[in-house]
Amino acid sequence: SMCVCVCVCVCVCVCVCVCVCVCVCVCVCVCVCVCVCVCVCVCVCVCVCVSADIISTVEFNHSGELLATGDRGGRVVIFQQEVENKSVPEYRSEYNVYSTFQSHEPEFDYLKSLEIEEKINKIRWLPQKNASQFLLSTNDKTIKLWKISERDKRPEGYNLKEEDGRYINPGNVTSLRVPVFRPMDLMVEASPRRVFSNAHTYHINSISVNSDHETYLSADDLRVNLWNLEINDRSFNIVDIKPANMEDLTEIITAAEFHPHHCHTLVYSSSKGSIRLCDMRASALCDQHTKLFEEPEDPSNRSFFSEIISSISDVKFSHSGRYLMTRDYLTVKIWDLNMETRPIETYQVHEYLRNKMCSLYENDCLFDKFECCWNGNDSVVMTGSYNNFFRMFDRAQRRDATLEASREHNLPLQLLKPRRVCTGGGGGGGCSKRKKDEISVDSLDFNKKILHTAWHPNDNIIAVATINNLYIFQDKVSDPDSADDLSASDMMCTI
Amino acid sequence: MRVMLADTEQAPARSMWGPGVKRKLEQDQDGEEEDGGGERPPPPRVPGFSSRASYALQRQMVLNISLVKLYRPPAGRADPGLQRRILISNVIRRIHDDLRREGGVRALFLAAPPPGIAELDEEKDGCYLGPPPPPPASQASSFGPTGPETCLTPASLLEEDPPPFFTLPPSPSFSSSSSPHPLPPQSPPQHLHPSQPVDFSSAPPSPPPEDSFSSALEEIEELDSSSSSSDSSAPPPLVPLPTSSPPGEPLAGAPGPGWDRDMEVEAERREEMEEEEQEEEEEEEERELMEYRPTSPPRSTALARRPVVPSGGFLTDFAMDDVLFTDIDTSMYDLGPCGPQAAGAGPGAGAGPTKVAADDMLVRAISGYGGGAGGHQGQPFRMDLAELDHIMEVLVGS
Repeated sequence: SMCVCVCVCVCVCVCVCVCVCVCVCVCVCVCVCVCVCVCVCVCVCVCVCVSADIISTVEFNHSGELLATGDRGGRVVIFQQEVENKSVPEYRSEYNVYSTFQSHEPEFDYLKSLEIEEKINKIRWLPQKNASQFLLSTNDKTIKLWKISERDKRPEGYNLKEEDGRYINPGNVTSLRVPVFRPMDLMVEASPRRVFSNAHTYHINSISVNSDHETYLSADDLRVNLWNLEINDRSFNIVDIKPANMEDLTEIITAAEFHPHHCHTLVYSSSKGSIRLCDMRASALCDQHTKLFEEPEDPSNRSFFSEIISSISDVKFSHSGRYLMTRDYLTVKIWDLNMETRPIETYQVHEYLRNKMCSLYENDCLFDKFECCWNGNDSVVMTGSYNNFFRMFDRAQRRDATLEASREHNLPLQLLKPRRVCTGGGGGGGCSKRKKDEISVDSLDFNKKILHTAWHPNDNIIAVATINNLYIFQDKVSDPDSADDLSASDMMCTI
Repeated sequence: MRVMLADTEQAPARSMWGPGVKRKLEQDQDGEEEDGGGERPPPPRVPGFSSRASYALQRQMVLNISLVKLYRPPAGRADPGLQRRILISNVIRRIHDDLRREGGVRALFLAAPPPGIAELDEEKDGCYLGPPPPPPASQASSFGPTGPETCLTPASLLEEDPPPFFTLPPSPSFSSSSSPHPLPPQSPPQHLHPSQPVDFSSAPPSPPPEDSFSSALEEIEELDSSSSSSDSSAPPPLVPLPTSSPPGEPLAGAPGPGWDRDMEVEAERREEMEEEEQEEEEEEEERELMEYRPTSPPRSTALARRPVVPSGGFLTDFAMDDVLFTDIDTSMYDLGPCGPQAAGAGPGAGAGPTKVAADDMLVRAISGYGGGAGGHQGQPFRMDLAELDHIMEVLVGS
């Protein structure tokens, strides 16, 4: 597939020239960009190549057979699992491209003179009800309901129409026949069924399908709206934290989700590290929370950036509905819904970054929004980090692992080796030079970040998105009768 | 655990984020400032930083970074988003609170949360009309604890509500209700200019920073000699210039559509309360920003939505260390109980090399703020502020 990169050159002199780079992608997964810039102007150009293939969301459907990714260019790519020979213990499942479509286009808000990015912020699948699949995809302002359907038969034998579509003169028809369906090559079509727009002033950060399968919520920085999937011209506002005077605004909504089983319960997280659980039965407007989950700040860790790193970037209910996981900049916290005072578990994702916060603030990395996910039985949680590392925390066995998603270090079908980041003080980073799996904090590449990860709902298959690439890892099943616990060393890489 | 800068110095050459910000620890200040630390809560422990000066320096650096971030659009073509602005504003607010708690002359100028929050209200139609309500009582009451520092401030200041805005300029939303203009240099020029009509629908190209700075100097001179008229030309976007125009001066000159007299008076007050120090730094920053911002044509709000930014190493090209650290007159940071007296003694000595000769005048003017002991230079100021406050009351009350 081709993607067109628009390269904007800024010249030192007054003129502005626009170069068009053509990037040829080998396949959707592996983006190898070969940029050929043709500059029109002669003066010194600084090229900023904007790639449309930066993955911005990853989501498995409810069966795990389909994996949807959204990118910054507004495209949705869906992969389907092809299971080879499942009877063999060491089966390998591959995910191949199933469908690609352009979900959102860039828009321009003329009233505010603002461009609306087409980047897909979130994709959520609907539970499957018939042969077609449905998903919700959203950018900053508009949510769309897409229907993905397969077509593998087509009708043949029309009386009044030729095969190529030309109409037959009725006078020439001598006999009638009944059209029949004949098999054809599988075609996957995506069509937008609903467009939910004009309900959000601020940028939509979350969508969540309710367990009643009829409604869903969408949350922006200050409001949460409730929609009916069938009705696209009306939504109900259920949470509104906009203050009367915007000068007083210090806290915004960062993520929201419905409870997986209770269709009246939802949570939303804030930029100050608190999570509020609301019950829609209590009142129409859920500004009064039912529960407030907040951990008091550790006074010894106070700094100028305490608030920024406490801002919650993702909130996820466990599949059981009993626990809540939140991700802030440095930690993953597991909360029990019955205890609001503090989380029951806290995992340090990259504590070694605590001393680098000023630099991270300066280069904007401190604002990165990492996501997190549960595995199917809520025993392991996973989240991303920098340098294409991602972290897994086994709750039951109190183990954690750091793995890397990269082509250089991982060969297909090989086991992943755990990595380690060493911090040692003083010059040299304190890392032992002989261990290849160790890397010092100062050598981390902060441009390579894993923000989006997803876990198959039933199997130990994970999808990890780096900036441009999607990696799919699978647990090596050596003995089908063995206990299905994940150990970090048993990850196999399949791309 | 504290924000640490030590890493950038020790980072190997292949560190992933450029040279970072250089830290210049001024050793000679440690002794001076340690003395004053008795009355305040002990500074937070900073590993690697044992002196209060380092903490203050660091705090200033974070403040500067935050201000730059707030007014410069991040890489990318679309609206940076509310969350980012809120978080940065909160950092600035936190530093302000910190400074206010420590007291001293500086604290008085850092009266309020950073501005531009009004511009976050993307739902307001039209311009931001009317003065923002004075900050809640908590702010006014926070002046209470600075009692011991009353010797530093004119009494009139203590009684009044502080102006709600900090030093930073009227946000671009004064002319449009949308999110901040991505290219702050194109924000409407200072509306206070009495003789130049200002048009905000198509803001004129921002003036060369040299002019605004030299006009700032002129104003300081006027301040000293307590002349009445303000001659401010359009200021750099980050910091409005101080003006000594008395509030009663007719604000003739057609400020342009969308402006309110309230806002003008408000901005006057604001300007008088600002810190010149920061202005200096930021003007220099702004100058450098201007150099690195080669697109001059799109001035109108619509077109400038698509900022054209150079590659990601913007800040590293910036030579922030030159901007931020070489010219700080840290004598003003002196947080001893009789700050301005020490500052008064020290401006000549403590001031680092400055690019402009009038820096001494700036400092003298600042010490004039600290009026109580400062004497004659503070008088016209006090009167101006009193008049200004009176006018504010009239306007707000009506």
